[in-house]
Amino acid sequence: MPSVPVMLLFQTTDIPRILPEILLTVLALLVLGSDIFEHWANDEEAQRERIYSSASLTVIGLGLIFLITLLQSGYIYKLPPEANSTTLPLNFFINVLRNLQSGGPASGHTLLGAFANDDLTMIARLIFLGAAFLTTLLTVDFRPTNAPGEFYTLLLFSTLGMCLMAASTEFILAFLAIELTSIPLYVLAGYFQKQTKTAAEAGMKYLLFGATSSAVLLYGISLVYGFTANALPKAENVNDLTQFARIAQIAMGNGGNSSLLTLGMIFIIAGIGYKVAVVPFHSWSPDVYQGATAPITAFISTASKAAGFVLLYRVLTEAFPSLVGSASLALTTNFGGWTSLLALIAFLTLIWGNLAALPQTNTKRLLAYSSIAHAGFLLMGIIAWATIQPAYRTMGISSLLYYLIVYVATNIGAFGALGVVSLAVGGDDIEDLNGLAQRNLGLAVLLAVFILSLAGIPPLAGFFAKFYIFMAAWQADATWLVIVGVATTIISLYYYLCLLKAIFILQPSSSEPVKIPFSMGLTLVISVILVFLLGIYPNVILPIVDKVQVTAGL
Amino acid sequence: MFFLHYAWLIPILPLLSFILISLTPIRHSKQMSGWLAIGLMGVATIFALGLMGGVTQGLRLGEGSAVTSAHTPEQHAPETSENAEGKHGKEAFVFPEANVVQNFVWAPTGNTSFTMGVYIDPIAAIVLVMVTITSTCIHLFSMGYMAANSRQSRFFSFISLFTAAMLAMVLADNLLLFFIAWEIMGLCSYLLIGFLYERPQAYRAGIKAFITTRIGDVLMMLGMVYLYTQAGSLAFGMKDGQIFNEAFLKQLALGKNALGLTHATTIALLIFGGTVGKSAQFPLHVWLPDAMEGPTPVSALIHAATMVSAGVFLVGRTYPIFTADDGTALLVVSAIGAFTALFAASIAVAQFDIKRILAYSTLSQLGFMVAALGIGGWVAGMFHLLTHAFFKALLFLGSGSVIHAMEATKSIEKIHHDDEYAAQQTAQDIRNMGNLKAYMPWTFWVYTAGYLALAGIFPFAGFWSKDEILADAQNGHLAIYIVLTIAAFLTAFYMTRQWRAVFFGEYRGKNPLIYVNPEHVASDHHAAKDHGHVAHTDQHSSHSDEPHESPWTIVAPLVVLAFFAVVGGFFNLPFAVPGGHWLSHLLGQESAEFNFMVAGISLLIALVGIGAGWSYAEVFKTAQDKDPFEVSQPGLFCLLNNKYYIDEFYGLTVGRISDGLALAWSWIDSKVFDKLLNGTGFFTLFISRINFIIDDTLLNDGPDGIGNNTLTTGQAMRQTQTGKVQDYLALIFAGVVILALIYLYRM
Amino acid sequence: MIEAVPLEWILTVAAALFCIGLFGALSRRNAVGILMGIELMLNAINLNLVAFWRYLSPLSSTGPVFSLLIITIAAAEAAVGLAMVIAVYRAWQTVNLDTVDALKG
Repeated sequence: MPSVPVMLLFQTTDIPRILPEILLTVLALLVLGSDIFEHWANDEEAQRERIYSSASLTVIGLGLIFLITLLQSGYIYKLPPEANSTTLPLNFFINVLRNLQSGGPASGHTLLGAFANDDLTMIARLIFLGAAFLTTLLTVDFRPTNAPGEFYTLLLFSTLGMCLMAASTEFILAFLAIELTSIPLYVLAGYFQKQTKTAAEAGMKYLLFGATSSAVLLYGISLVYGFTANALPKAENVNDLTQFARIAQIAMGNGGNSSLLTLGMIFIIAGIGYKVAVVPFHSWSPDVYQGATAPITAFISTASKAAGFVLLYRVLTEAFPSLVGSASLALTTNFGGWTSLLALIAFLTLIWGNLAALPQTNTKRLLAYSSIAHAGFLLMGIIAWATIQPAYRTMGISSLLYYLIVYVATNIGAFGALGVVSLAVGGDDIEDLNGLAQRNLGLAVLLAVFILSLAGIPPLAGFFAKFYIFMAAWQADATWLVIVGVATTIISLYYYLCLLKAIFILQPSSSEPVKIPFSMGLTLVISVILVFLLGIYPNVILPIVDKVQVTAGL
Repeated sequence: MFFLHYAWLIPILPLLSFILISLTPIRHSKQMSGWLAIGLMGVATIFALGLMGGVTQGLRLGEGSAVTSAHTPEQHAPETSENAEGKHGKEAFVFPEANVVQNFVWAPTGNTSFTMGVYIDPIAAIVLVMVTITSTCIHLFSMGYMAANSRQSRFFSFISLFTAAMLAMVLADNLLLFFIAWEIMGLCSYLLIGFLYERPQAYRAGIKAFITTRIGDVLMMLGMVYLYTQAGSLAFGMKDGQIFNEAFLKQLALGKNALGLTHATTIALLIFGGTVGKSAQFPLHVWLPDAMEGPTPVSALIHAATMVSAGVFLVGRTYPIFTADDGTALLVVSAIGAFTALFAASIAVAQFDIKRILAYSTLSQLGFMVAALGIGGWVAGMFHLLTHAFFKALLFLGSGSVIHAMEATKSIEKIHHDDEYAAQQTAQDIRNMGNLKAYMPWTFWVYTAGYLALAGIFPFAGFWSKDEILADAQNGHLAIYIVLTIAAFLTAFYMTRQWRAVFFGEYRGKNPLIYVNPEHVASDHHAAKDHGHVAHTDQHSSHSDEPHESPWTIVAPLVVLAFFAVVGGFFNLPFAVPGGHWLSHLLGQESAEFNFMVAGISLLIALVGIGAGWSYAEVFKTAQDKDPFEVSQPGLFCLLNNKYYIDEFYGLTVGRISDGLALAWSWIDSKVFDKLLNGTGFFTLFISRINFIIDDTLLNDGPDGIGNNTLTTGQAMRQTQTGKVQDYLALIFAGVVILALIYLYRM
Repeated sequence: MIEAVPLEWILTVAAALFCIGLFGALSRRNAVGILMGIELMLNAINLNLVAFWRYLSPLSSTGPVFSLLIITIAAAEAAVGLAMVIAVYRAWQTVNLDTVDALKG
């Protein structure tokens, strides 16, 4: 283990490295402040105006931040070092871009040992910003709230929390980031609707579950802290005891087999398990997904889950590499390590999510169980660490990221389409989808594309994502898990096809056409383009996600 | 060898049927759950037979799990014969080497770790065969007998769990696992006695059984703790650090504790406390007769064949500790056993309930076994345990068949509509029977086989095993011998009385002596139906006045058991013929040679008893006739009929004291401990919450549907989402705890 | 430093406190009671962190800083939690969470 590079002081040159976060904060405050200057009145026209202006500010801001981050990342265009120009405007832009890209992803570089500025962070940021952008676009017409200033501010702060979650390499920051993500989401899920019973219930359950899970997570962290503090001489003045790399270093030096550390790790997995909604820490998700409004459900089910996965990956691979084991579940031979634990969880999640989805009658609830099942697939990307080959480990994380991107695009599309239906029909049971094809063929086709992509039908993106992540798991000798995954995919076809049957075959209760509001339609189109593009030509983003290299010896 | 490697599957199979029946939609179909349980029991029986086949060939499977056949039992026997041949108690008792030892680390305890696993020596293998065969028969019997009960699936799940626990107990490789299985059996016994919980008598009997046996269990647990403090281990086996290690036993026999007893004696007596509770020895015998409130298959399986003999098996299992020192413990054992044998036999003389007579007979026979162990007749005790299990199960099932037929007659059916409990009691009264051999030939013949075996008539199973006990007793324990011989006489007497009253003479059931139920509440709920009266509704819509033969699911198991009741004795013929002493050799012990005088006396006594019983039972002409004994000796008869008033005595003494203590405790509790104790409620509450999720969702209002397809599984999973946030929170912690346990025990 | 009280004792107290909090969270019907139970669990963690810091690495500042942050976050969570209780009360006319179970299955 090489010595951990720690920047002890924050420097001015670090500012571009956290530029997206700074911009998000500024935007959030801007949204909150600008709402004051709107016309506040109770008539519908004025409210619509207020929501529209807050929402458009947020959308435009998020779009800009997304573009800036994309430029900064250098994934589209990396400024060559020798680029120079004498003409004034061009020179100005080149200099701006150069300064921007100087804060781009740099492997192994952490701010104060707490904030990694690597490709993983960068890709994760783009995922969250994109998800937030699409979600906000959904809300422009959906109008889930009467207090738009607070609503969008909370949404932005939650996005900020996710970015920090993905970047954190230190437990205190990780905890704060989780809370910064979660607390706004509790409010978004439960508080902003017109005080319906289900919304309040969903918010309450989300809050209590989240708070209890944080307590579990914190207990685990305190145990790990105890482990590291115990391993060091008492007189040493160190403040890096909660940094992932430091923990790994101490654990390696200790033989890596302390029960305190192990117990702490299990608690931490449980605490993060709530964010990614894996069995048995999943039970909040169907209730919250059903109770919250469609755009918020889309946001919770995609961005929040993605952030959880990135953090889980970081914690396990950077703080607990000494406890990695095999992906086998055979108790006698080589069960052990968090890989086996995750394999067990993934197994349960796949089975439980897919089977419990079968009898559902509410579309949001059905998709909630479906997304629990997807969490099982996503775990396979982390389980790929069971192999010791760096190339296969890299494949694991890149397949995880690829799956996340596809999943975010598909799920936002699916929830968006459902939102359109519920806006027009007034309910979100499967029956409300009946005969959608006769009421709006375009919407029906879009929804069908998202559903088929979730089911993993080629050539849509969902297929390649599943295929890629199965390959990664297979390389890591998790063959049995891949078989379970394939089997449950077949089970899942049943409920996805039930949705399609309702859409295309069953007769509608009324033949009144369903209108797609403009901005929601825009979201759906963006999502569907991504779904097709990533499915047919995965190489668009594969080189990017492959940048997250796992080096040997970590 | 396959069966040796997979011996641990034997208890798993019934456990599996328990899990499947209680957790999956199979429970909605009585037929499916019944056949599932029977099928898995059948497989377990095959495994047990295969295992015994391996064991008789002397195959061994050590911890290295390679099969060797180094020692055959025949070679092994002479080595140990010196030990067993010498005076009991002087030399340490030595078991034959175990055939299969497989274990895994269960819990780390300081430096060492506690292992759990299977430990199979010849006696375990044989008892396994006995348990699986009787249990399979009884499962099959229940299929017909319980057919009309709406909770038949639950019955099968309980009885499967019970069998699993019993088998696990027999296979246990240490006393703790033994005790765990023992407690599960106690729980099942409680659940099954109180199975017809609509009847106050039934649930009261269940509670009584549970509490009474718990008294013994507490003593046994103390003994275990004591043993653990001495040995640092509870593992069976003769190696270093195991409890039958020779050096360790010597040390136990030498050290004395504050009471002036040696460690060995104290431990042995405490462990024997468990036997007194479980095998219903005096003074904790009171629960067993009341336990007959349970359905008849339960009486046959748990309260005749298996669980009650578990107590005897416990003594047999820990026998080296009993014999480690001068035999003080054995003296107590033999005294209690012999006393119980006589005491219970005398009560049986004055009973009228067919099942109660058998219950007291069971007590008495258990007393025989315990006494046999107490006088050093380990093989004789175990032999009697095996034969008794078969013929007593047979007798109980036969009585069940009789009761089944009696309940279907018109005169009792009449009472049935008004008060089921009274109807059942009336149907069980032998005064209301008579001449059943004409109506139920199959039942008559198999019952006769069981009866002759119990009475000890040559060449039925009971003769050989009882004779072996008597031969051992006659060899130096004259007092025990005399007591047991009198008990044997009484056994022949009361069994003949019962047999004749039931099967011969006039049929008296047309004008029965109707039982008056003191607790009858006039209502027309019929939920507490004991068992199957399919006949009432389906086959015979017109009830006949006379009883009828039972269906094949009831008769077939009887025939199987009757076979063993007839030939069971030949496994340990006390002659030097080929096949003679087979059991003794297999068990690596020497057993007593055939003693013509003892055999002659006991046969003679049995015949006299039979003669007396025969002439005596003639007197029943109508159901209202008084017992001649009651006419001649009303006081004594009343004493016996009321079981020496022991229950009343306990009620007045122990009950009063505990009432007083309870009062005092409740005062202290309310004043002092209330808040403290509330805290400990946490764990229970947590468990109950988990339990609530499982119970309320999986067990109660699961979906209908017979097929176990994925959709219904999905439905079942869906039901776990209760909508109560605290259930979700409980799930988090259950998840963490389970994951932590899995992780920590990964090795 | 004279360690009159061994570290293990404090850790045991913290674990007990955690369990008491858990008991509260699982057994109370009232939403506010559940929130209080969760607060208790967080306090147990603070105790853990401070004890580890004091006994094992007294010169660093990680432990107390972490527990200060936890206290802050707990306050935020409680604020949102109480707001949520009010929302539940408005919609359901009760804060007994056993009856708040419209979403299930």
